[in-house]
Amino acid sequence: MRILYYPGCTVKATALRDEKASLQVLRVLGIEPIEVENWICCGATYNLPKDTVIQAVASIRTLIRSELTMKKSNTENILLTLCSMCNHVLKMADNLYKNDPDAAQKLNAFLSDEPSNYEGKLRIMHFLEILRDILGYDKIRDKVKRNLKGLNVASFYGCLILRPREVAIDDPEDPVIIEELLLRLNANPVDYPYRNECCGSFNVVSAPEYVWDRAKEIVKSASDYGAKLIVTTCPLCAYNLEEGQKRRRKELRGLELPILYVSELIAYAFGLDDALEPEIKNLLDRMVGKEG
Amino acid sequence: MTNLADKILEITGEDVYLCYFCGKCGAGCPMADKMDHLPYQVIHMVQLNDMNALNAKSIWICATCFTCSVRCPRNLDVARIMEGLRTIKVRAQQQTIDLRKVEDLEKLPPIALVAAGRKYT
Repeated sequence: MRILYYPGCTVKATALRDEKASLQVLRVLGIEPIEVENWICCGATYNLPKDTVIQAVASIRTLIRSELTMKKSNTENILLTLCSMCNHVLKMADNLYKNDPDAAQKLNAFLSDEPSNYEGKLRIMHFLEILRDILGYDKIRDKVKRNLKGLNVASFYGCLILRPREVAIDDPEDPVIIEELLLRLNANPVDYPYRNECCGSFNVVSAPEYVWDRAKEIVKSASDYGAKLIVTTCPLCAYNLEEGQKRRRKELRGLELPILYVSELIAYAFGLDDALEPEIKNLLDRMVGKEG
Repeated sequence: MTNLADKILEITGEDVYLCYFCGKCGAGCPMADKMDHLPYQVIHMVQLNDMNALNAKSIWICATCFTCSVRCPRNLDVARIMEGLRTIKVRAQQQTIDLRKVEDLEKLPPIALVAAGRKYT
């Protein structure tokens, strides 16, 4: 199955590890992601005022170009995203376009330099949704080659993949999608109070201390509940937790949990060593305690 | 100037008078301990047309994680109201961030910078 793929700015910068692992996992499962031609940044956050449509222009431009790539490369109408923020922003813009005819008209006028209007035919899906809804959990289990038995893994969903409700990939208050995947990999999902909370997000730019405090709480709690590892899908959560636990090393008394992308853990369980950075593979080898 | 509540209604479509201060937004807010006024207190100020709402530190600390918005029993999109207040300041060009002075500029994920740029300027 050929589907469209929108990387976004950060996957091509600080989250290359996620891209490499996610795309290889999908290929092994029979899905070929085709990168959208001439994609641009989605905007990273969707501004919330309702008296303007400017917040949706960049996203709709990318969606137009996605439809063009779909026709040219003969793909399904599924648009894959890896980054939580891209997934949120593209879905918010898509909803605005589809549900508000006045806004759609304004957006078309703004985007009249594109070869066509957005036709609204795309189904924007996050990597995890594709695993759950297109492939199904059983297909994941069938590809597992390495046993992660005994590995205590905490999921960290973060905010934008779960909220607001209309763009959420799972229940905002009690998400299970990552835990369901972990169970298929034979890992132990760790339940802890912070898994669907916010890491502090873009406050890292304006008030980084607040974010380091958040990271400290989250990592401490995950560890208290037994986690040896945290997995996430958001490149900003990954950065904030990783950097935050270093900045609060003293308060955490040296506690430092590896922060990985969900895709990396799946790739490891599938035995896709080419999809992993060598230090990630070595780390997981040590944690699982044995080879394959 | 128009009444603050009307202004928020115009910008965000949210009617602040629906709030009855149950406190769920403040209780669940991940940034609550850094805020000078909890979200429902800010909303109360808006109801009273108290312009200090626009000077609350909280409106710049809100990370728009929507935890309050999914929990509000009155279906208010609290994150959107906080952003409405920010928007009033931003549109008056009272920005609070200078991206040239950001620490770790080279290391930060681009989404953090783009997001902060869009929310704060």
